[in-house]
Amino acid sequence: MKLALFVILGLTQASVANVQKNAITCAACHGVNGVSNNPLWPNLSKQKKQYLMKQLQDFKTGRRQDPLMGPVAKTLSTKDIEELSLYFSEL
Amino acid sequence: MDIYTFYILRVIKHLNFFTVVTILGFLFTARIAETRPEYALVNGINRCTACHVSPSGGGPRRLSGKYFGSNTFESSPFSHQDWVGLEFKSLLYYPEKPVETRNGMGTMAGSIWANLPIKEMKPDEWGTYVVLEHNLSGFGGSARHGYLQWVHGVETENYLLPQHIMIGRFYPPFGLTTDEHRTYTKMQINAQWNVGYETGMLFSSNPVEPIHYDISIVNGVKNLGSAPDTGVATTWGGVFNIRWMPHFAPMLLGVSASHHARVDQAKSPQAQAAYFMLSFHRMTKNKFPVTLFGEYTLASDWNIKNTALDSFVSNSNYLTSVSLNKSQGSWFQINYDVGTRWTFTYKLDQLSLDKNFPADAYIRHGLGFKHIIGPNLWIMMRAEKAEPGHPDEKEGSKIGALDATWFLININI
Repeated sequence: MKLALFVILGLTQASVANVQKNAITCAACHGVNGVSNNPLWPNLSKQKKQYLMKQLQDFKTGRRQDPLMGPVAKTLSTKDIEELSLYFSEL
Repeated sequence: MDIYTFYILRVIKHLNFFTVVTILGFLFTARIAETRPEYALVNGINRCTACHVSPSGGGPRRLSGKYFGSNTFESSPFSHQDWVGLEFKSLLYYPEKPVETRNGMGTMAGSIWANLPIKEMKPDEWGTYVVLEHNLSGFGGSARHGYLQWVHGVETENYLLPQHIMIGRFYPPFGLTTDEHRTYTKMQINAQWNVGYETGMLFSSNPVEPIHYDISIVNGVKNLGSAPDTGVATTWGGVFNIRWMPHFAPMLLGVSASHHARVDQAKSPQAQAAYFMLSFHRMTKNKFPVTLFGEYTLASDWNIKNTALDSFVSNSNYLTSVSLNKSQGSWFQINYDVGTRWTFTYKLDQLSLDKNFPADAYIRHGLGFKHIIGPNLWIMMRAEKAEPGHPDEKEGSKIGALDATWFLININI
């Protein structure tokens, strides 16, 4: 069902698999389903896509600074950022 | 049949079809890399202070480090602060010759630490912290960290001059710092985690984010924290470490150098190391979750009065014969992450106490796993096969000559 939803939203099946692999890295802090188990880091599940995209871009460019998120965001491409943001906004 | 082969055959004998399918299932659905120092480096995080209080890594953790290590488990309420913490580590060690060597259960660490802010770090200001760590019940001595630390600015800033300045007792970073407590390259220069603390000053910084350096100026004795070991008494010494972790590749390259002046001898022990890490997680989008590690160390005048070698080399005559020789050590490791909380490891250690006679090298193979079972709670098990090269060591009764199997449980709060 969720796969169908992602396909409708523009992600191909290959992209969904790619996003799920990328999202594993996010799960270490933000939780397996985008729900964080600790108070330091926010939930990503159901967060607005545009907000997530902006925050990841800001971490990537250094406009927003964090010792953990900064380096991680620098490893993401623009396509990764868009797909991850869509993924978590629908999770 | 040696103990290494015995355990492997026993595992294989009990495998059935469903077990094999389950294992293969894990292999083809390999997922998250567990939170370790290596995981931070895999993701391009070139600051140990992302998780730890000390820029050289290890020991007391920041709040981010406690949560990072929880690995999606809910942390205990005691962990929701980073002023104090505890570590407990217990070991069940079964060497090849249990009658002749230490064996059985031991507590490696029962430590308590404190990170007390005198003045919190802020942009463009110096923060001041007092950090203490004491091993209350584990072997390997008592005092661990004990230092005063000044930090300029916040942890994402870059400075050519030192951003972190520490004075006191700490573990000077040399070579690759990982969770592996006993590698041959660390024993080569008496720098195992529970032994290699020194007193002095440490200067660290990231001049640009991909580059990190540590400069330690040390004075005194490298010891366990109890009475000074006069056998390795030093005057002044220096330890230098620099690593490069580019944004464009999931790798790390580093070099270290150390020099310690001895009061009781004309020659001063020196060491140089080169090390690397390479992660295939990012390269393959977690489809091939493998990390490679390697370290190569050359040392001179570290074969003398090295307490690590006293429990490593069985034949004292052989150790005496190589006391003035240069040694060469290396270790190589492959970590394969399976499922969400498992890591399988193969480790290879090598140490030539006389680098001109590689046939006499000590070799050690280790195969095992690490499993995270709770927030900052994990277990490890490993089977090790020792292959000493020198004829006088083959029937030895110390670490370098003995196969071993061990089980370890560790928790941090």
